[in-house]
Amino acid sequence: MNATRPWLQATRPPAQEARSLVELLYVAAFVGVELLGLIDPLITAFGHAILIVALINHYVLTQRDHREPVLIALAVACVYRLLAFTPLPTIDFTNHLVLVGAPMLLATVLALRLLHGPGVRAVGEALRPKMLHWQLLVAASGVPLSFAAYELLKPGFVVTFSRPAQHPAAVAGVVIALAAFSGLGEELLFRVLLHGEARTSFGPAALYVSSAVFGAAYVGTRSVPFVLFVVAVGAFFGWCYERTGSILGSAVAHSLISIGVFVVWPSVGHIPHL
Amino acid sequence: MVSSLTKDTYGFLASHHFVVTSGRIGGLILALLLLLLVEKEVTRAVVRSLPASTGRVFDVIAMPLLLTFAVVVIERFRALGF
Repeated sequence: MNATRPWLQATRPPAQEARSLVELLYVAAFVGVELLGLIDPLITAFGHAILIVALINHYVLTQRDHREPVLIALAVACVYRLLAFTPLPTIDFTNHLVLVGAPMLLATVLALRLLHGPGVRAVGEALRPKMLHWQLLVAASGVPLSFAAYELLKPGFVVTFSRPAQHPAAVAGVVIALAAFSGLGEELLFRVLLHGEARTSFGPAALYVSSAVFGAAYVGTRSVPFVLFVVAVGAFFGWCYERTGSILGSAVAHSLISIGVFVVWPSVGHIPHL
Repeated sequence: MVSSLTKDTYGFLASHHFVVTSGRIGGLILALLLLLLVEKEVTRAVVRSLPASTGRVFDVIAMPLLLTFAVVVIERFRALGF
């Protein structure tokens, strides 16, 4: 009977619909916490702590009957946002990147191991150079995108080659940290973990979910055009991952964007240094 | 483009003294870490029907929190002159 009505075949069972709705509410809560953080950033930290407890407990209590891996992925995104407030005696750009990025990378790898079995097969699979010509094109898009991001954001905390006291090794350290934790780390979190796991609940609509969470994580920039830009870039990277099954190109592009925004483009302009 | 270092997070960290931020955020991280570890033990002891991998679910979040908390404590001691 469904052969004459193909849309019925695509319809999911009511229980699965209800689960997807609950997961969507968690995504909305993530966005809400980020928006509330505009009032006071501490609300973001406390909000994400509450969300982490809710997400982990929900996952543990329901895992006997069904798996909702997107809850774990969202919890890791919440941890990343919470750890963004990691205090340091002096705000050093590289130290901040490492101290926030390393635990985030650890959480992402642990979550992928939990959901896809032991080893780092899921990470290796996502970094495999599939459709190389396509990956090169995506990676190259990082250069114009980094200029667009810089024009929209113009951060007040930058590292420049032109700064007299800036040792070349320090600049190299920032570049490596940006490539490892911003480029690779965030792509593993938002594309491989979040987008990948959201596919089990939302199917092709996972692209909207991962882009929304990725964009919400940048609400703290207080720039609507930049957040919209991030959502568009997130959707583009997600689409590339969906199409190729690899984040190699998008990780390189993301790294190039970050390095351009914080290191290269500010050298051309006159921006106060950190 | 680093979501961990936005205008808000940078402003928060720059406008508050380390003692204040380490107390608030370090305290929050510690409270969350303890809660997750207690929950991990309680679920393992009480809810026996849960899969064996349940403990690893808590570890996904607890391990990075533990790492960060250790760094905050070390930095706090260093700030005190140890």
